[in-house]
Amino acid sequence: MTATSLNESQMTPTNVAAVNESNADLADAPSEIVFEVRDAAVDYGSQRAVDGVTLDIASREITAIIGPSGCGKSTFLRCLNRMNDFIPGAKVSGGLTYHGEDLYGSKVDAAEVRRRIGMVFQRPNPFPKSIFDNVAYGPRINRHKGDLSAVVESALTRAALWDEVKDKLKKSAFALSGGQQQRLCIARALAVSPDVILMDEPCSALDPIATSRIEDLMVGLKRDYTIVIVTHNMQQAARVSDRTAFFTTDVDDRGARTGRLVEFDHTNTIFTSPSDSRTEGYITGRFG
Amino acid sequence: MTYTMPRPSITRSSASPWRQTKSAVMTASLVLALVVAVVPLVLIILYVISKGWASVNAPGWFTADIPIFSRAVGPGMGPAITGTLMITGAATAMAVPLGVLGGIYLNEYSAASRYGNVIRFFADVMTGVPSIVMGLFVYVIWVLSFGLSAFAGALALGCLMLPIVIRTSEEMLKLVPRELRESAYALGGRKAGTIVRVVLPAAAPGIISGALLAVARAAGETAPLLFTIGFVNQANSDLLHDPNTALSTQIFKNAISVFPGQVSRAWGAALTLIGIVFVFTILSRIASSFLSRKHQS
Amino acid sequence: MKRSRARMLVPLVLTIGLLAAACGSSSSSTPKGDKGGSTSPTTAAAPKLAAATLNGSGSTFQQAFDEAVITEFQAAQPAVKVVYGGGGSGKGQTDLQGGLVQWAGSDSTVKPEDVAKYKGRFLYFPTVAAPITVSYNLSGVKLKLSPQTLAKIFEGQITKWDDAAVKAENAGATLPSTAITVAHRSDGSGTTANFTKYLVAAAGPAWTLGTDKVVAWPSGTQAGEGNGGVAQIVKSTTGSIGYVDYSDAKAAGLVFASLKNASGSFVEPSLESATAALEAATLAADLTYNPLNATGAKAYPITSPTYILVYSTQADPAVKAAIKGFLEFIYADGQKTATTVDFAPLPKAILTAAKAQITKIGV
Repeated sequence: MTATSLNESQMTPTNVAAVNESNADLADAPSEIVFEVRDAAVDYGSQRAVDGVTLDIASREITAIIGPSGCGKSTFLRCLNRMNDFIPGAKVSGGLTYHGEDLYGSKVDAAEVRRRIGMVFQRPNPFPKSIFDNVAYGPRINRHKGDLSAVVESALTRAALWDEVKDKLKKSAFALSGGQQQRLCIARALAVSPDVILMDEPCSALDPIATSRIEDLMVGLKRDYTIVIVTHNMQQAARVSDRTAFFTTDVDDRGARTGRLVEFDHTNTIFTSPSDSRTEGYITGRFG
Repeated sequence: MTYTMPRPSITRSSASPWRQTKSAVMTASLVLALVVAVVPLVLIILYVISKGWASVNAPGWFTADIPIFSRAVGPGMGPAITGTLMITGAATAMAVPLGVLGGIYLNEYSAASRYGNVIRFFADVMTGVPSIVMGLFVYVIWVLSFGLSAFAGALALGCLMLPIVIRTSEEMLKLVPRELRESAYALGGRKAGTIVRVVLPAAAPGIISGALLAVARAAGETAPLLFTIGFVNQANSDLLHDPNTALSTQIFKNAISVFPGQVSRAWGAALTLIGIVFVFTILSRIASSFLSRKHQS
Repeated sequence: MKRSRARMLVPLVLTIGLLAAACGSSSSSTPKGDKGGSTSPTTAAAPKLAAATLNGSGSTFQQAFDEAVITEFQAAQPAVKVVYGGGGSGKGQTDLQGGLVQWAGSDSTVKPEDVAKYKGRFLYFPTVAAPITVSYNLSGVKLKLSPQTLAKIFEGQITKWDDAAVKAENAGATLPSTAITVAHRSDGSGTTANFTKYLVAAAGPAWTLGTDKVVAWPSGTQAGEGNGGVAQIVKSTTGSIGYVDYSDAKAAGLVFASLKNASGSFVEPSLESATAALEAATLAADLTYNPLNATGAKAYPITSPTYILVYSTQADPAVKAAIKGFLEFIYADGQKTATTVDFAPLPKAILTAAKAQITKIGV
């Protein structure tokens, strides 16, 4: 089962239109759960970085993770595609399933997990290659058979970059502006037909105009992809996401900081009537 | 009670002239330091050119054999030039691939492991080993069993280059942003493929310039060659057998001679060696700027 | 961007330009090799030898002669590569013992106790002879020395140039009060062996350091590597004195002393005075001979023989043929080459015996 076929079979055009109309309306509509997280924790060596996270991430929604600096939002995000595997000493525990399969099961191919669950990083980081080769990188390493340029064109089109770069595909990716580079990185992630796209503060290095283009793009991509975004920008979370998870930091008596999930709900609810006073404090700017 | 900051005028205070003088003195001493550092270098180059130009300029200098009759005046230095290129080339062929692999291992596969630290420590110690000791080492492990040869010299130079290449490769790989690797992993990439297709190309400019600087350094080494290639004047194209010659050993043997022909050949060889090292340095700059520009223009 | 690339290329273009200029200029004439390289072979062309490499090392006394003769031999026999690394007679002997070389140059004979160290029977081939000069660096003085005074200078008993003993032998010369710097060989040297052998024979009890390839020189003396190294010290140190082979001393432009010979006359080193010394010498069965401290009004007292040592058994036929060819060349054209590089050719009697000995190689 490929991610693409999954996407196509799951959602009707009507649903897509509804998603775009209003975040809140669709929040209660039945939706497949992509990630089921049950009391997950991340340790770096003897230090617990994130603890007690329990939430469900629904298909074809944008889930935002917000919270003050150092609350473990990025660390948690990186659990979802096993990116923490590369950090020496990092250990993930608790229940984490992806479409019902244990993400950390002993027989799971982590590379395949990461192909299905793409990631876009804080700073635009194209490979030192041409624009074309950047997008084609993923299909190539996954031994894509068929018309590579069609895949590249389709990915760039979905990332709303095609018109800007179609005449300079052979040029270095570094020739693009920061915002274009970030969209190139999104196109690069799309080219391997992922199911989920994780975005780790994708707009923090961009100016407001570029940010708004990326946000528009995310809303458009929601039709076909499940998106999880970490952001420190509350307005951004409010603008684009369907559900929001609020993380905060506990400091123990030795000064060690551990991130915790405080509240997870529809974005509307979080921003209008949060049930936890810490959420409210953060939303209204009293701390964080 | 409120406290208002005193608001000084933005015109120069009386302290200013002193500050300006201090600034001028510091700037002047920095310029002086630069001049002191550069003048000997320029003098060396000019002196070698003035002494060696006539030799190098004589027809056949780069191709003709070194006169067997050592008192003879005139060119050439052909066997020593090919010897230097051959020995340095063989050393590079051994040390650079091995060194880059070592750098990859240290940075990508054993970043914080104890084994990695041990290797790193020994690479650092090796960087500080005097070149003559390296020559002695190769003399004992190779020359005593297999005799003097260009290959033995290449082994010694390779041993000198290896730690430099390992450490510069490691440092260059370290500079490759983590996100770049993670982006490749996020596309379903595996470690080895990611290193080959993303990390190495990103680090290539630095690795190449580091390697070529190591080559340039090795090309000028004399002490390790004295033990390992011996000293002859005749050309020897056999890498593995029989004594060979190189520019640096020619300089060593000829410069101390009482005969003017030999001394002028030594200057010529010195100028040639500087030229070769200079070309290597320029090449390393061109290669690394070409590679980094390829992706950044 | 364009501009920085251009800036980048400037040094390269310059370098290439320099190299091209260096290669291209053909206006300057090729300086002729000193006397050595220019003598053309006079004998009929010998049959071409098969490819072989003859590595040699040893005496720096004979090095200039060897290099000159090798230059000519290579022109006649391009397939044979003859290499001579110098290093001193001591090194030549050790290298031959170890089988590192096919031939060794030595001015001194092998000590009886060392014979067993060789890999087989070896033969002495006397090649040429030459004076060992007593060269010094004192401007405007033409020195005359007796063996006794010479011994005292090299022993460090006489430390100033205006010493009474030196003055006595150089009446009329203006000798400075400069300190004497003695220069000698650092390596195991046949030149040292012959020089000290002469002092033992001629100076009698005045010389106390004995004779060997290396002797215990007094402190405060300077050591040079090879005859060239000693020549370099003498050339560059005012007030110095050293023993250097005639060919190197002459080529280095050194001044040398006249020595009082066994017949009581002061003789300057020259090829004639060396030949005069050779004529009195008697040849031993192994072709060694001792021309030191020779009698005769014109004989220079420190005339030194020099030999090429090779094993009589040669496993490799190509090497055997090459060695024979090389030695034959030395006894033919090489004898003419000798005088051009300031070595004395062998007297007829020695030459005939040496040529005849070539047939013993490989038997």
